[in-house]
Formats: sequence, C-alpha cells, structure tokens
Amino acid sequence: MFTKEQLIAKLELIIEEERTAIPLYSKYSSDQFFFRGFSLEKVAKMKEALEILRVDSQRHQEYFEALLSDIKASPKNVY
Amino acid sequence: MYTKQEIIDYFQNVGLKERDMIFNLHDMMTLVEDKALIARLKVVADDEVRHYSLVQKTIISVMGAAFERRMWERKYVLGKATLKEQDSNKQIQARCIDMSFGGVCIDFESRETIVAEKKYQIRIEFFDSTTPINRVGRVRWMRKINDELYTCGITFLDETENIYFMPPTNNI
Repeated sequence: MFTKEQLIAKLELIIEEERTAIPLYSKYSSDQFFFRGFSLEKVAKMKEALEILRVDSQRHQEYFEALLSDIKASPKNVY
Repeated sequence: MYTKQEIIDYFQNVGLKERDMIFNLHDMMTLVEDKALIARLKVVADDEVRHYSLVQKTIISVMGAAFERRMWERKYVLGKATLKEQDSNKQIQARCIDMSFGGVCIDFESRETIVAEKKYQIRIEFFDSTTPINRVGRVRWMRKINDELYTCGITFLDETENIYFMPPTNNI
C-alpha cells in the first residue's frame, strides 16, 4: 500500500530514471568510431535497438508525467 | 576506435538500466493495491522487459557464438531471488537475471554478503510465473558491476523432479 505522498515520490524517481536513460541510449549515436569494425548489418541492429530504447524512454517519461498529474489531481490518498 | 569488449560493456550498462527499471516497477506493483494503477504500471513494466530482451539479443548478436559457451542455453528470466545459507537462517535478497538448467545468475546489493564456493538454498519467484522454484546451488563466480551492485553465477547442485522445468520465456 502506498500513501499519495509516497507514490508521488516514487513516480518522481521513476521519471528521473527514464529522463537520465535517454542520454545513455544516445551516447554514441553520432560517434563514427563506436561502431567501426562491425558489419553494416550489426551496426544497423545496434543502432535500431538503441533508437527503440531512446524513443520509448521519452514516451515512458511522458506517460509517467501524465500519471503523476492524475495522482496529484485525485482526491484519493491511499493506493 | 573502441574494442568489442567496450561495446559489450556499454550494452551491458544499458541492460542494467533496463533491469533497474523492471525491478523498480515490479517492487511498486507488489506494494500498490489499486488495480487500475497496477494496470497502468504494468504497461511500462512489460515494455521494459521487451527492452531488456532486445538488449540481450543485441549483445549476443555483437558477440556471436562466443557468448554462449556453456552446457545449457541461458534464458533471460527475471524475478526475485532469496538465498538462504545452509548453516544459518540468514536470508539474502537478490534479483534473478538469467537461468539455465545448470544454474542461475543473480544481481545482489553490495551491502549483502554472498560467499564464493558457499552452498545456498535458493528460491526464485519469477515475474512471469506464479510457480516459484526452490533449488540448492553453489556460488561459482562473482563480479562487481558498480559500487552498489554485484552479480554472481550459481551452479545448481540438486536434482529435482522439476529438472526440466523452466519458467515461461515469453518475455524474450
């Protein structure tokens, strides 16, 4: 069981986790040396995976921000 | 120019980030009683499991067959692991990362003490299954991931009727 305050604090932490994940996923996206030595097929797979993670992390951040707004606006105090 | 190992280390850090998110969300979902809220959290938790799987597949794709030089194929099954020392009642909470018929890989916090070569009773509650498993194993290797986290490999010592049981792998 979570109180409203505990839940808000936890969601804020999760939003921060998602926010800080984005630079990790895009860290080497424009580094021409990072993928050197791999076949084009492998480079494409790695870049595609990192792009999915980056885009979804952005989406999750927005999803949790909306959830946080709903929780803050709700009269409910226990979850 | 980066080495292959540096690239693998990078993707393992990305995988660790995904694992943290999965375990954070599952920890929350076990404490929350509001079913509508659980459903909203599960949407993202399921996404994070898919992400973790994607990262593991990418690592295997980069490393090739060398990554899987082991007797049994590993399955990336996540869940809560509880280790109990055989000669005491001390319990250690850990995270199940992957498992094969021969053993299991777990993450544990650095404040916990797990001893190399020691025997433990292991209980694993998988996120994707209501059936936990109970095994006995010996710690074979340990590696520091960062200041807060270690990972270790445990070889199963017991033979059970469920030796062929593996948890569902629909998350991979």
